Amino acid sequence: MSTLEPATAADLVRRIAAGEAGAEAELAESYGGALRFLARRYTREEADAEDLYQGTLMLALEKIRRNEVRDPERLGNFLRALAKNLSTTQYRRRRYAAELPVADPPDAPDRSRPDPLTALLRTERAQVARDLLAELGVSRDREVLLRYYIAEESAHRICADLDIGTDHFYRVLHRARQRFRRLWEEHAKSTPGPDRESEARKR
Amino acid sequence: MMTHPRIDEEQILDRYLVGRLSAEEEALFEEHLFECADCLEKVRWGEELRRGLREVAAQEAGRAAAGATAFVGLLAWLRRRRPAQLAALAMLALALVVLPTIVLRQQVELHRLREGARKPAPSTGELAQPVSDFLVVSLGVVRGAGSSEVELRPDPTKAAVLLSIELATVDAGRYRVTLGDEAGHVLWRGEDLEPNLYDTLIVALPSSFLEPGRYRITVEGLAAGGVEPAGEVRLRVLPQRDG
Repeated sequence: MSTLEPATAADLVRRIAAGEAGAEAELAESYGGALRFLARRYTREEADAEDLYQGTLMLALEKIRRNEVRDPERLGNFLRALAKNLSTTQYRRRRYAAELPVADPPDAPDRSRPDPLTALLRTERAQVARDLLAELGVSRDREVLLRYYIAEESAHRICADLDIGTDHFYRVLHRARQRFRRLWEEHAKSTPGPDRESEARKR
Repeated sequence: MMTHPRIDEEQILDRYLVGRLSAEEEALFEEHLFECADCLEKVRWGEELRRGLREVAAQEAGRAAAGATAFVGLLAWLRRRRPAQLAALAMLALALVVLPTIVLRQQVELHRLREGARKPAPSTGELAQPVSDFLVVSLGVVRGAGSSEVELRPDPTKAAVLLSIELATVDAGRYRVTLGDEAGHVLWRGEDLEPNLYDTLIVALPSSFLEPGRYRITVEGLAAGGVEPAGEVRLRVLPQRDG
């Protein structure tokens, strides 16, 4: 994934507005990774994240073509704000639709269940997380992870309870992230499949 | 603008992952992600890890619910919560991860023992409330008799005490935990307790149950061939601090 300097970002905005061939693809290439990550963070399901990503990109291109970007040097901030607003709209629409007293057509997707891709990724992610927890020899490290990421306790409180310094605390989190990534990559190598490959391409 | 020294010094990345940044910090950090491939990679894997752990917790919660009918009402309550109340769900999911035993059943039993059956035990309806405010006490790894004594000072502001007993080895599918006093009287006994994912047995006690004094906790494995000693822990409950 490449990133752009502010001056280059402004230049990219100018080139898209001017209709230069290839400039739109460059936007997706340079900003797509972060935008996809944020789309996933702002939504609950993988499929919704993909909708949000595509919707944000399309709206961004329209606005750039109409010269509606106020600060072209902060193109990332512009994309982020669009994604955030769209996700709020998407959520409100869904909530409004859920409140309508109209029966869903027989072939309507069941929103109460995760889509197949989400379900698959959840299973695999949980498996890798289990492997990671099993590997952590020190039970205190497991407790740090569970209390911080699941119970959402403050770092300060966990450190006080376990009598550990903040340096150690953040080292545990850092190492766990790295180890999780390695385990995930090993897991991916051992279980290739079309869904996994398409997901990997999006990363 | 978000700089790397600031990200490191203020632990921005880890705080971002659990939603502990201010709106302004969050906006600046997310903008930074468009400009920094390194931070994007780190935060992406951190997010995957966080989701993975939550999914493990959710699976464990489901497993516990399948074996514990007393939790059904609790889970129904949970399902009605909105995403904004995920913290409560997460806290409970964690409790379920470490609570493979039926807490409600234990509470009824404990209440009966404490009151000497003079008063009727509370109904499960009264108890079917989420217990989220508890003191977790690790008793360490249980081994044979003669293990060191663990001290516990109850916190009167906590509703319950969770005693975490880590098994040195898991040789049986089910365990019996007995809590006795110094004189050898059995104060409470939990049967058919299943170790959780981390080879740990959890016993939940109302905070008021443990009066100051010395206790002995005996763990026995329940195998097809009979009962096998699995270890013993000595517990000393200190008086509550004044004020």
